[in-house]
Amino acid sequence: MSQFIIVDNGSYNIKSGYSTFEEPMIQSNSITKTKDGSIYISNDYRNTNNHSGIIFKRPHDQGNLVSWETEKLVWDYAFNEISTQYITSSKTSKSKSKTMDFSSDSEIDFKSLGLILTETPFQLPQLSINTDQIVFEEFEFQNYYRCIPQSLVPWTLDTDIENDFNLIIDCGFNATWIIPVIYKSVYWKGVKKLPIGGKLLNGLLREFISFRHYDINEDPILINTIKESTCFMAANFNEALKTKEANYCQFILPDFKTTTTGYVKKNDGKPLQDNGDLQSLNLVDERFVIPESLYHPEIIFDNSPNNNSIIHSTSFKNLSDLVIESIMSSPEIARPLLSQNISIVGGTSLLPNFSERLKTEISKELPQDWKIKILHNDYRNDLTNWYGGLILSQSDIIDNITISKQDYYEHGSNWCQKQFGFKNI
Amino acid sequence: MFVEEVPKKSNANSSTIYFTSSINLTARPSRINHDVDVQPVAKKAKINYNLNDLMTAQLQSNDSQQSSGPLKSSQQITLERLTSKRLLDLSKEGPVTNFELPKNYESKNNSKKNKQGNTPGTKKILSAKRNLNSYFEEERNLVSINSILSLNYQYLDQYDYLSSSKKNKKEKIFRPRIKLCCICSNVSNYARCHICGLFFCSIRCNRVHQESRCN
Repeated sequence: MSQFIIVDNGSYNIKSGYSTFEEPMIQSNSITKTKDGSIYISNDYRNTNNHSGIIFKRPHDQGNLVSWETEKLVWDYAFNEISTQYITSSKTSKSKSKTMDFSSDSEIDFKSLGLILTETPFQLPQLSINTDQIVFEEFEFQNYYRCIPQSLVPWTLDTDIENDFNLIIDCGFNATWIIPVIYKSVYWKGVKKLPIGGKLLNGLLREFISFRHYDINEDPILINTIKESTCFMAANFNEALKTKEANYCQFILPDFKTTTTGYVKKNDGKPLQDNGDLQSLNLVDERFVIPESLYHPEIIFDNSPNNNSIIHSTSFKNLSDLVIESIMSSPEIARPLLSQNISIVGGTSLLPNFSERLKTEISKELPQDWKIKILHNDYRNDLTNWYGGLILSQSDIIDNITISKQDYYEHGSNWCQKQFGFKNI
Repeated sequence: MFVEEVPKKSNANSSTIYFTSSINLTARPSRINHDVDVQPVAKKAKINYNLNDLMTAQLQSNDSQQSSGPLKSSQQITLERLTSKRLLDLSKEGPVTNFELPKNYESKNNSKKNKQGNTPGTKKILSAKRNLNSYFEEERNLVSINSILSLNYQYLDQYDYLSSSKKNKKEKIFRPRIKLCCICSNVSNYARCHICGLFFCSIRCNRVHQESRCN
């Protein structure tokens, strides 16, 4: 069986690794420019201290992989990282008897490797064709399989029954996708998208804090840290709003002496041992109002500067509405099965209390006698897709669904898109 | 040009015929202009030889006539424009979101192989520097472009003035909007700024609002 590289090409992080890896390596999918003008690829910016004024250049635009001149550099970086890891791990595990495929200077030869790549659902066909061309003509992979990341999730689930009907809710950086997967193939008619993801929550948090506390417009990394360390889904939003003082927390801003990232002050009653230098943010309702925009999208629009009466009179569908719509647009016999096999993946779903809240919201809408079950996964939510690809690469099916380089050169990239692309609905 | 597409709407009975031979017409190009009865060949657009594409195009046009109903109202279009503008604003990660890479920028890791593109095709892709909108523009005629674009607005409840029968109203889910004060995020039950329409919860917040945010 041929060796594969699995790349979950998310718009925030690339999760990549060889099919022999225990866990993926995570690389930031970006090129950054710091305030002093130096440019870093992917994770390299983390070695610098001051992230203020950093500019991100991302290859994805609204989830679509647009800018290959950026992505190529990031992929080169990522592949270099995983190959170094691969060589060191195989050196330690295997004895010297087996000769290496690679020469010692970590030169990577993709010609004997396969690639499993993910891309956003409903990518523009032209962009997918670009991707295929780069994969075969630039990196020269031997075998290639491209799919949407959510379709890999069913592979991570164990039992056979659970594998047949799945509803995947992928709350990622760019958007939230709701995708029914039936017999491991995507049911395109039921695919729904809510354009609210981690990036948008960051923007909302930035607006809140910049208005109420300090101007943090130029610190995207700090905003992300604040979100990840303080935000959570309220179990009951109205209750939480009434008793919001209970959720008071203090976030210590970086002062570049004791901390460069900032942290949440532990609530142990001790006063801060500061000498007047430490600045802090007092966060109360921001912590749960911002994630709440998944269930009340009007939070995003109502308090915007360019307010308009049209927006005021519109009703928005929230996450649970779209989940219900997605279930109801599936074949009737599959509906209760879908509601019993919900999987939650994606980085934004790591917000505390995310799945419990989703379960209560859905159960309000579905018929009373339907069971609602959110499947437990052994993997971290944002890495599940990659593990799905890993398991897929080890099964026999992979040989039937990949496209080889010979096929590509015979039929061309349009044919490639026909094999992998979404089916028109 | 030996084969040309039969115009889709010209003949309903012969909808199964996709191509016709026009050898005789093109064989005498010079005399065509004088002949009134012959169709002006020169005006023919590009010919699509892909039978599959033609079929899906035809299926699609049949579909859209039956199911998609009335076109978007102007109100709907304004709404989509406003909301997507707001979403784009929030999605920006900072005041500057893009920068030019220096020419021939390459990482330290792969100095050995830095030529841009092995083949003409990839060379073009790797130096394209296009944005998403230009791709959308290019694919405007794509069969599935509407289903791709409409995905972004699934969360907006569609206005449906033309077919707003009683049945539709019943199906519509009503959920009370959350009204949060624009200053302190308390629930704002009744009040709204008469100038800009933002919510506030108390007189104190309104005063702050008028000093800071109201414009």
